[in-house]
Amino acid sequence: MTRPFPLVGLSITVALLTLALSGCSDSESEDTPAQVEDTPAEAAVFVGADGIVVDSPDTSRIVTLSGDLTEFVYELGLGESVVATDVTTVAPDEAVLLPKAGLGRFLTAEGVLKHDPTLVIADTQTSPASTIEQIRSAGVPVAVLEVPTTFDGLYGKVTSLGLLLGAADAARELADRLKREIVTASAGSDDGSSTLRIAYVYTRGPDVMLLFGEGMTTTPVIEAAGGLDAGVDAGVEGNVPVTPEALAAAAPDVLIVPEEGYEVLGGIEGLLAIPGVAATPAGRNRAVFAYPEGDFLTFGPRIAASIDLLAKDLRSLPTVP
Amino acid sequence: MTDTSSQARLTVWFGGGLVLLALVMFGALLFGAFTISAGDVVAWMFGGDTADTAAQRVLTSIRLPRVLAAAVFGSALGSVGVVLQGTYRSPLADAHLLGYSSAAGAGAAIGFAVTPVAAFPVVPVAFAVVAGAAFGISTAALRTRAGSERLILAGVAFGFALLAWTGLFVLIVDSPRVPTFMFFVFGSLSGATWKGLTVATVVLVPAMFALWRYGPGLDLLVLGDREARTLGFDTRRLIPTVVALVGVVVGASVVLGGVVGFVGLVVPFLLRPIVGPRHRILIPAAAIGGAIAVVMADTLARTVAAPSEIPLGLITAAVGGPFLGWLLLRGTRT
Repeated sequence: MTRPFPLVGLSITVALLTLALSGCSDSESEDTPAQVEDTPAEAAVFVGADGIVVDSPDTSRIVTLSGDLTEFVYELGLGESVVATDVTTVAPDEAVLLPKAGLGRFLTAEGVLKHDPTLVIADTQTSPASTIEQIRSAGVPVAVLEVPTTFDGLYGKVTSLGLLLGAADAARELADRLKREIVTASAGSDDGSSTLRIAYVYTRGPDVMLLFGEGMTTTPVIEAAGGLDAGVDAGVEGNVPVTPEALAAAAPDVLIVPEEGYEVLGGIEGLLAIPGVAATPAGRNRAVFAYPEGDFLTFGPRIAASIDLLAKDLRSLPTVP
Repeated sequence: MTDTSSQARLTVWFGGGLVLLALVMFGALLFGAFTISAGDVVAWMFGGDTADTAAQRVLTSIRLPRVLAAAVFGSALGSVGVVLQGTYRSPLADAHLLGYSSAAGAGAAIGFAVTPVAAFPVVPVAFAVVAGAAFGISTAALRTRAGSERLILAGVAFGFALLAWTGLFVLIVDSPRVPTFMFFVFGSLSGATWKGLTVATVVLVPAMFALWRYGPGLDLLVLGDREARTLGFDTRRLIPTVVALVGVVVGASVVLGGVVGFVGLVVPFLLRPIVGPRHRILIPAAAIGGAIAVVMADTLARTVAAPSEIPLGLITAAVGGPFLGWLLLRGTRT
């Protein structure tokens, strides 16, 4: 009769051993970013949001994995080096024509590497995260940027990209320009009496309706244009599926929706048919603005134009009761 | 049929299976979103081309670990299917159907949540192995009281509940460390790395070998608990040990490729008429067959919609589901 008990013991021992070993590797990988943070900012080395340093990369073939990153790289003068982007890239025109390295959430390592990049620029929303690890294991550096949700964060992102791409001066100029544009765009509306409740509802059609709140890039734009983010005010964190109750709690005076989804819904009539929409002040007054998704949701160098557009549209509204 | 001729026949089947596996794995290396010519792959394999090209890096660090992971994953699914079918005396017993995969998936999800993305996935493997083994032992304890049909239905129920809890956990934690819920429903090998493959293999191989050593005991179990006991096998000890080992194998494999169904049902079903019911033969045969099936399915998963990917379990369910249904309804087995 066979007695393979030693083998059972062996596999358990091996599992425990490897567990013990992992303790070491975990602490190692947590040490690295801590050490990196100790280096002064003047050291001029790019430190990713994931703690990984990318020092003086070869910028001859760049793949950008988010629309705002594409636009910033072009603004910093390295547009010629961009060889592929992702599907969220809507500007500039020459970048839109470039091959696509993958499809958003289902990014694959080979889909990116087939463009033979020397540098991949991603952000903390790039997913799946294992793809980033695989690209790195193929010897291609991946710079991971923060996804800012404030204007200060946006300027910081420009500075980080300047550091990464060896374009610190261009980055400083771009950040200054952005600051000026944003101040100008919000000048007419920034009177401190932000009582107009504005909600951003993301939609792709009747099946996907999300109310945006805390931690989304739409909040600073709404506030700069002189509004109060109704989603944030109603306590929404991130985004939540639109329900009649969530809409009632937000009670928006104005709804902003992506133009693409608005058309799929069939315009204002389709939107008002969504349960709960018609009962909001915005629904009753038909105060709905539809902006192209790639413009309003790209927290990048064109953001001042979105503020400007929203502020103008708000001024054109009849006085809200 | 004489012993020698059946021996020779088996040698041919095993040899043919291994050759087919090698061919399928070589074929899998040729395809992917990154276009690499067959000549470059051959040059890379035999070290003829030592230049550090992008194609070589893709082959070494992405495609090779992926194809190997598919083979290891498939061999685990196939062999575990055979063992459970023997233990539960039902051709419908399977790690996926009986809830083992969902239990291991739940453990893995919790383990992933506390493991840095680029680290060796030791904690997920450990959690998944413990969850899988605990699930196996606790359901096996009920086995003698419930018939195998009931046990399968109970497994489906437990499996759905564990899947739902995993889904709740994944959605609430919402961490880039934890794979998407899709991974725990339809599996995927797209995250395969050398680190994951190493940890899983180190646990899988000894556990699968131990199961193979229990082959004669499993042969007797098919006759019935009492008969096996009469012949000197302590089933009260054998069954918990075997199902615990199954949990270990399923746990390590779930970390590699998530929850994937039908391989453990279809592969043994096809092989049993060919190599016979003896577990010492059937377990390695199903390991090879499972590896061939999963390497092929995974190649489809990553090429059909390239550069995007299709979850692996969608392919195995789309092909394996109707195939198994047809096999069962054909009535060659009851």
